[in-house]
Amino acid sequence: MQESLCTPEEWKEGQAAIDAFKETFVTLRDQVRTQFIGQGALVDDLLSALFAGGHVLLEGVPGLGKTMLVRTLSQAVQLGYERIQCTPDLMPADIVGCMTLIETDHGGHQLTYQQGPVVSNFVLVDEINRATPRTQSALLEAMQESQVTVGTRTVPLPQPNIFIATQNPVEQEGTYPLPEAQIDRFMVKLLVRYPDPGDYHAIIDNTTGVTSPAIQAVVGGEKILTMRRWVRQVEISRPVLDYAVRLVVATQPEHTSLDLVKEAVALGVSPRGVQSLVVMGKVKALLDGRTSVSCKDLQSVALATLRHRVLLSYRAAAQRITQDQVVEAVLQSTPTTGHSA
Amino acid sequence: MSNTQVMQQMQAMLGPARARLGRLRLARGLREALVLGSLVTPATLGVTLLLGLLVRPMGALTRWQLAMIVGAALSSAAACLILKCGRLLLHRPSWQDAAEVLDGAGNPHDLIVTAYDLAGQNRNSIFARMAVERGVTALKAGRNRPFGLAAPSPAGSRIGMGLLATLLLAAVVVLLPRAGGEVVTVVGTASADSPASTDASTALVQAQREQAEPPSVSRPAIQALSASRQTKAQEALLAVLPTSLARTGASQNEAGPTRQAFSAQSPSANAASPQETPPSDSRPSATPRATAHPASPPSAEEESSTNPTHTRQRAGGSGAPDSESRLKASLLSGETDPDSDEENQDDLRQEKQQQRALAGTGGQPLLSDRLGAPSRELGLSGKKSDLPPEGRGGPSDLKRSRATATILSGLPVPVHVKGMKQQGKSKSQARAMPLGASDTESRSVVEAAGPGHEGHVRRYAPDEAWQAVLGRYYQNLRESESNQQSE
Repeated sequence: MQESLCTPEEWKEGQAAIDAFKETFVTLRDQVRTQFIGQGALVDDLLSALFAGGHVLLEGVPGLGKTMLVRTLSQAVQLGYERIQCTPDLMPADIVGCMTLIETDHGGHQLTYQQGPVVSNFVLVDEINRATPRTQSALLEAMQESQVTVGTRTVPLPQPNIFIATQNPVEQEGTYPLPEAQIDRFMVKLLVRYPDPGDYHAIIDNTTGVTSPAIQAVVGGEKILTMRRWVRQVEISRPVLDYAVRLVVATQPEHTSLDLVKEAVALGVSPRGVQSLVVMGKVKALLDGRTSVSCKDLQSVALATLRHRVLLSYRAAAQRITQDQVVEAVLQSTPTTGHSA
Repeated sequence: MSNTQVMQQMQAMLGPARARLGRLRLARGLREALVLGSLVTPATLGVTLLLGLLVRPMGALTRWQLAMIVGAALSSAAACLILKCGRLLLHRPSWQDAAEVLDGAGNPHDLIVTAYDLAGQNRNSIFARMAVERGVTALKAGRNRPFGLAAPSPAGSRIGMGLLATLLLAAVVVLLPRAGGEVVTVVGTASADSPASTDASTALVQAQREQAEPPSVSRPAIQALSASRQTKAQEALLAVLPTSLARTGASQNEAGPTRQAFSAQSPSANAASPQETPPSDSRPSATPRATAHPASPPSAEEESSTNPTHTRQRAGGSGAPDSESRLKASLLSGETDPDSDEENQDDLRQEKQQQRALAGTGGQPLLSDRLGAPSRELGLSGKKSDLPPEGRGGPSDLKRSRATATILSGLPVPVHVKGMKQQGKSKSQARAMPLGASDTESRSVVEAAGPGHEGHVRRYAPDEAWQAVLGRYYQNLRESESNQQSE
C-alpha cells in the first residue's frame, strides 16, 4: 500500500521534513528554556505561533518574565530585533518612521526616510496598552500586510516577521484597551501565569548569580521560513475543517444555539480566527508527527487562538464570565467528527 | 495506485462498519419512535375517547365511534414510527459517516476520515498522500473495532408510563359500551318513575349554578366601601398634620364621613354651609352624595373648580379666614394660592429691575442669572436632583452611578468608554489576582482580601441575594443608558 501510493523517496522526504521541524522546534525550545524556567505550554505556544507565522499577545501581571521570554527568544533566533517601549506619549511616527531632512556630504539637504523600529524581523511591543489608540493603530498595517506606508513610500518588512506584544491585565488606569481591529491581528493570546513552586529555585539561581546562561542563536530566518512553508503544507480534511467552522460559528451570538454565547458574547470570532485556528492546528499536527490536522489539534489551540476574539457583552462582564469560559463551553457543546454520526 | 482505487479499497473495508452503523441508527430510531409513541398514542386515545363521550355523554359508543377511536390511536403510533424511522430506511449512512464512527471508536486524530476525504478530493501533495496512507493503515487496524452511537437518555420509565396509560385507556374503550348501556337504563328508569327526582335534580343544578356564580354585590355597598376607604385615608393624612390642623379636622370629623370628605376638598365652602348635612347622620358607612342627597346643590369642590374667583370672594368675605384651614386645604388639594403666586412674581420682577439698574454701573452681575451649584451627592441611581444641569463641574450621571455601584455595593459594574467600541473595565474588575499555574479561574483582589476595611473606608459586603438584586438593577440601568446613547 505504501509503495503504491507514495514512493519511498517521497515518503522519506516528507518524514525528513517532519523530523526536521520537530528537531528545530525542540532545539529552540531548549535554548529558550535555559533562560526562561518553567511554563512549558506557554513556550510551546509561543514557538508554535512563531512557526505558524502569526503575532503573539502575551498577557500577565508584572514580574512573570514576559519581556524576558521575548528577549530570550529573540536571542535564540538569528533575526533583527527591535523593541518598542509603549508610553502614552509615543507617536505613530516613532514606530513606523518619518521623513527627515538630512544634511548631505556636499552641504546640501535631502529629505530621507528614517525607518522606525517596526521595520525589523522580530519586534517586541512592550506594554502595548500604554500607547494611545492612534499609536496602536500604526501597527495595523505592519501586522496584517507586513509593510508600512509613510507618505507616499511603502516599505515592506523583512521576512520572517513577528510582532510579540505584552500587556498587563491589572493597572488598567492610564492604559488604552486594544481595539478590536488591533487585537484580532494577533494570532494567539497567551496568558503568562505564575510558575510552579518547584521552578522558583531554578529561576533564582539563574537570575541572582554573577552570570546568567548564555543564549545561542540556533535558528536563522531562512530556516523559519522553510518551517512556515512546511506548516502550510499540512493537510486538513473537510470534516475537520467543518468542525473548525462550527467552533467559530458557535461563538457568534447570532448563529449559535448555545445560551451562554447568546447572553455573554457581543461579538463572535471572525474568519481570521478560523485561519489562526487552522494554522496553529497544523503546527500541532506537525509536532505530533502527522501530516493532517485532527479535531484534537484544533481543540488544543482553541483557547489561545479564540479567547481574545470573543468580545463579551456588558452583562457577561458584570457577571464575571470570562472569555475562556465561553470558549470552553463552545468546545464542550460542539460535536467532533466522530460524534456527529 | 490512484486515489480512486484507494477509495474503493477503503469502502470495501468500511462496508461492515457502514452496515452496522445503519442498524444502530435504525435501532435508535425505533427507540425514539417508541418514546414518542408512548406519549402521542395515549394522548390521542384519550382525546378521541373524550370527544366520543362528549358526543354521547350518557349513552354507549357506537361501533363506528369505537373504530374511529382505535383507528386514530393506531394512526398516531404509525406516524411516530414513520417520523423517526422513515428517513433512516430511505437513506443509508454514508462512507464518511462510517469513517467518522470508526475514528470516534478509538482513533483520536481522525486519520480514517481524513484519509477518505483527501483521497476523495484527489489531493496529491506528499503530505496528503502520507495522510491517506496513515489513514488506510489505521483503517486496516481498526475496521473491526466495535462502536456505538450516542443514544438519547434511556426513557424506560416514560415508555412504561405511556404503555400503561395506553392499556388503561384501551380497557376503558373496551368496557365503556357495557357500562354506558347500564347508565342509560338506570337514568331512564329513574327519570320515568319519579318526577320528584327531576325536581330534586333541578334544585341541585340550581344550587350548583348559584354556587358557581360570584356573589353579586349591590352598587351602594361598593360605594359605601370606597367611601370608608377614603375616610381612612383622610384620617391617616390628618394624623401627620400639626396639632392645630388635627384639631380642626377633629371638629369637622364630628360631622360624619361624608362631611369629612367634603371638608377635605373645600373647607371654606364647608364652613359657609354647615346646615347642608344633618349632624345626626350617624350611619356607619358613608353614603355617596349622589345617592344620599340626589337633590343637593352642587358641591363646593365643583364650584371652586368651575369658578375660582367665587371661592376667593367667599374666603375674603368671611372676614377672618382660618389660615390653618386654608393651609390644610391647599395641602390636601395640592393647589397653590394664586395670590401668593402673583406676589412672588411681583417680587421677582421688582428684584430683577433693581438688579438691572445696578448692573449698568458694573457693580455686580445679575443675581437672577445665577445657576445652582451642581449636586455632588451620589444617589443610588446616579441621577441628578432637580438642579439645572448647566452648573459647573460635578461628576456626570455615569460617573456618579459608577461610583455608587462600586462603593456601596462592591459589585463589579463595568463602565462604557465613550468613543470606543470596546468597553472599559471598572477598577474592581481590573484588580484581578494573577493566575497560578494550576488555576482555572481568576479572583479579584477584593475577593481574595475578604471582608475587611480598606483604609478608612469600611467595605460594604452585601449578601448574595442583595448582590443579585443590585446587580440586576445596575445592569438594567446601564443597558438602558447605553441604548439611549446609541439611539
